[in-house]
Parts: sequence; C-alpha cells; structure tokens
Amino acid sequence: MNTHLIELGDHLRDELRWLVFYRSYDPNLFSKGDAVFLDFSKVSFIIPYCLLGLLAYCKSAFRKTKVKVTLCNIPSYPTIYQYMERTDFFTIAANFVQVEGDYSEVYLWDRDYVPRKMYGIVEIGRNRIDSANKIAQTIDELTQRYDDILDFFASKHENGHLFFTILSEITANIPEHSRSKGYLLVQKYESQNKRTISTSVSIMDNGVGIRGRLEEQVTNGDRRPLKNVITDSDYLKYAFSEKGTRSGAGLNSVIRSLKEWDTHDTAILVVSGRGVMYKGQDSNKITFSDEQLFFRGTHTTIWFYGDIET
Amino acid sequence: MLKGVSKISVLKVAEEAGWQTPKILIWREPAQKIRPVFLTKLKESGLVCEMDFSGIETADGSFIDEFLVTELRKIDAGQTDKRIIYLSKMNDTTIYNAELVFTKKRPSKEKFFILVDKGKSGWTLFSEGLEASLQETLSMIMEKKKITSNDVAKKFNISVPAASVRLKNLFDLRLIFRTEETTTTGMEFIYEALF
Repeated sequence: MNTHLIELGDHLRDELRWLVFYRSYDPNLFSKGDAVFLDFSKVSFIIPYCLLGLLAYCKSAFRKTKVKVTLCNIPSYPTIYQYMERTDFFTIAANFVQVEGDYSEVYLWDRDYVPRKMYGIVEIGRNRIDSANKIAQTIDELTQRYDDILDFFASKHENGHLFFTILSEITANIPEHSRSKGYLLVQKYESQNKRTISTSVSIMDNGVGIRGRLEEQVTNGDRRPLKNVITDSDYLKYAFSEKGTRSGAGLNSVIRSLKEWDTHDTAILVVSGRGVMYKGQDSNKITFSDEQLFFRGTHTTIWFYGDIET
Repeated sequence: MLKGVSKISVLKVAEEAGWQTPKILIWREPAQKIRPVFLTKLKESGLVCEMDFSGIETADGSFIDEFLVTELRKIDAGQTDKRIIYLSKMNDTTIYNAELVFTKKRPSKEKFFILVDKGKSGWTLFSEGLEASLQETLSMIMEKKKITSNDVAKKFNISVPAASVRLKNLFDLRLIFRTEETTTTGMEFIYEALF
C-alpha cells in the first residue's frame, strides 16, 4: 500500500494540459489499498471536459485502489470549490471521492446564480429508459434556455437545432454501448470583454470504449470482421464514418452536423482507449492519432464558438 | 386532396403510451415503448396514413429508425398489412434527423423512401437512390395531384406501358396512391398524390 500525493497543478484549464497530467499519473498503475490525494492548491480554472475527466480519473483510481480518492486544498478563491459544488461534482462523485478540509464557511453559489450559463452534471445511467427520459428532459430545459446557451451560435448559422442532434447521438452511446454510467456537462463562456462566446458540451463514460464495443460486436457475430482496422484510432475513425453506423443516424451524424456549420466555429476532441480524434477551431481537418496511454471509456468535448455583434 | 387518409399524431401516441417526455423522442427506447399503441392505430387506419409530428420538438435518428424504418421493413417484407405512410408537420430538427436516417447507405443495401409534407414549403422525398425517371414522374404527380399513365406517356414522350411501369413502381414504393376506374375503354388506374 502506497500513498500518492499528486499535485494537479493547473492541468484542469484545458484539454491538452489534462491529457499531459493523465499521462504522468496514470490511474491504472495504482494498486489495491493505495491512498491517492489530489492537491488542488494550484488549480485556477476548470473547464467542463477536465471536470468530467477528473470524475473519470477518480473513478478509475477507486476501481484500482478500492479507497476513495481524497481531494485536498481546493481553493475557494478563485472559486474552484464553488464551481465544483455548483456542478454537483461532489454529490455525483461521493461514492469514490472524499474532500479534505472544512468548507462550511465558504459562501456557495446560489442555485439560481449562473444557471442560465451552465447545466450541471447529468448522470446517464445504464437503465436506458430512465436515461432516455433524463436526456430528453435535459434537451427540453436546454431548449428553454437556448437563448442563453447557444443563441450566439444559432443566430449566426440558422441551424442551431443540430446542437440537439449531436447531443442525443453522443449521449445515446452511453447506455447503448459503453457498459457504464456516463456524464454530461454543458456550459457557456463569455470572454471578459464579452466579445467572444463559446459553449462547451462534454460527455464522458468509463466503459468499454469504442474499440472494446466494436470488438465485442464482431466476437458476438453482430458485426462482420473489420478490415484494416487495427489501432484504437482506426476504430475511432471507423465508428465516426458512415460505414460504422449500422442503424439510426449514429456517430457519423455528429461529424455531418458539425460540417453543416461553418467548421471554423466548432472544435471536437474524442479520446477513447488510446485513440484520439481531434478537430481544432482553426481547421477543417479531422486528425486521428494514438496515445501511448490507455484512457478507459470515451471522453468527448465539442466547442461551439461565436462573437457578439457590436 | 386524397380522400380517406388516416392521421396518426405521434405526440398523442407517445402520450397515450405513457412516455414521460412525449415532445422529445430520443433514442430507441421511446419507439419501443410506444410501438404497441402505434401499431393498434396503424391497424385501424386506412391504406394511406399521415404521421403527424406536430408538437414534437425533437425526434432523433435512433427514434426515427426504430419507429419508422422498422415498420417500413415489415411492410416491405409482407409481415404486416400494406400501408402508405407519409410524414407531416416535422420541425427542422426532426426533418434533419429523418433525412439522415432515410438517405443513409445501409450495409444491408436496403432502401427506404418516404414523402414529407412540408406544408407551405412544399414537399420533400427522403431517399437514397430513387431513379431519375421515377423522381420526375413523382414530381409530376405531386404537381398535378391526379394522373394516368397516358398523361405520363405524353409528358415524357414515352410509351404508355413504360409510363405504367413507372407509376406502378412508385405505388410499390408507397409514394403514390392508386384507384381503379371504369372508362369507355375498360379499367384504368388513376394515380394520386398522397397530399
């Protein structure tokens, strides 16, 4: 049994820093009985993808150690603790995370504060009927808050409804294929001068991953053996292609929907197993690559960018 | 306007089946849950059936696939009574998702065709690979509303038997309706637009 005191640094402020952190402290290397402490003292900002990544990280660590991960030195200024509390992180992670320190004096964000810009973490369980209703309710509430969450984007592109196509297709894979629970977090950001705006949609599960699921389907005889699909990124590429979609609109519709927009206004990152699919804001090109480390499940983030007209 | 069209409201079906979020139908689960109510209504309906999507805010690709394509597959396979189904009053989200599903190339090589009544914006056909000759004949019927093989033969300068084949193919694909009428020269098929 070992104790791991891990400094998170400021690795929660963007996707690439988070991947760097994950590479350095792979949770799959922990052993049963190990105590894992995550030190938040240098965390100054958290984006939704990293928050969900942290959730997955703690879950993976707990799966190995069977000991709750301890979060310590969470700052209340900047308002990291308040942000995490507002997203319901502590409630959702209660089974595998514990918080060290006394935060009873911290003035928490009012539940009516910020809600127009943020939709707290939605847990997507393995019960497909409950989850279908839960995501439908989420879409319903997001539709009502559409003016706050995505109007900047929709007004520019006139087809903002594709947002909901993407949301339903990506989340559907969790109960249908992942074999695990998943999480969704939607949030809008305004730059300090309020000239630029972006909305982030992050979805994460800790399940079998895209490769795992496709291999399972081939083994079960539900799908023909895949030709020239070898690496995890090959599996990602296949899953997001038209060929990879057997019924429904499938993951390919996510790519198609993003392409319906001016692709310079969207970005997507999908990490599953060792495979990485990425399209940046400034490029139309979707790239596929393989990481050395294995990321359990599938982690996705999509960004929608826009400007405020002056 | 075609007479005897039965209308099935998707919203009412979902409500009647007790689906919790009837206006937002995503994933396969609501389709599976509401199918028994839908099939009862479909059985009670006439040959031509309008699937009315008014009040549905979002129906995603998985729902449409499970709800509609599954039934069309059964109709094609003769596992259920023939019905000519068309869609109406879909909003932009649902039209987009339905188009993705119906225009997709399927590994099974199956093809499904369905007409969508877009109200004042006209109509659209969701299809993957409808022959150009059938497409132009369909456009003619949608404009004229009622035609015979003679009309088609004249318009496209083809023989009457060739025109009859085109019309029969469109009828077999469930894209038009036909009735038989007695004329001075014998029996004649009259083909009608669905809406």
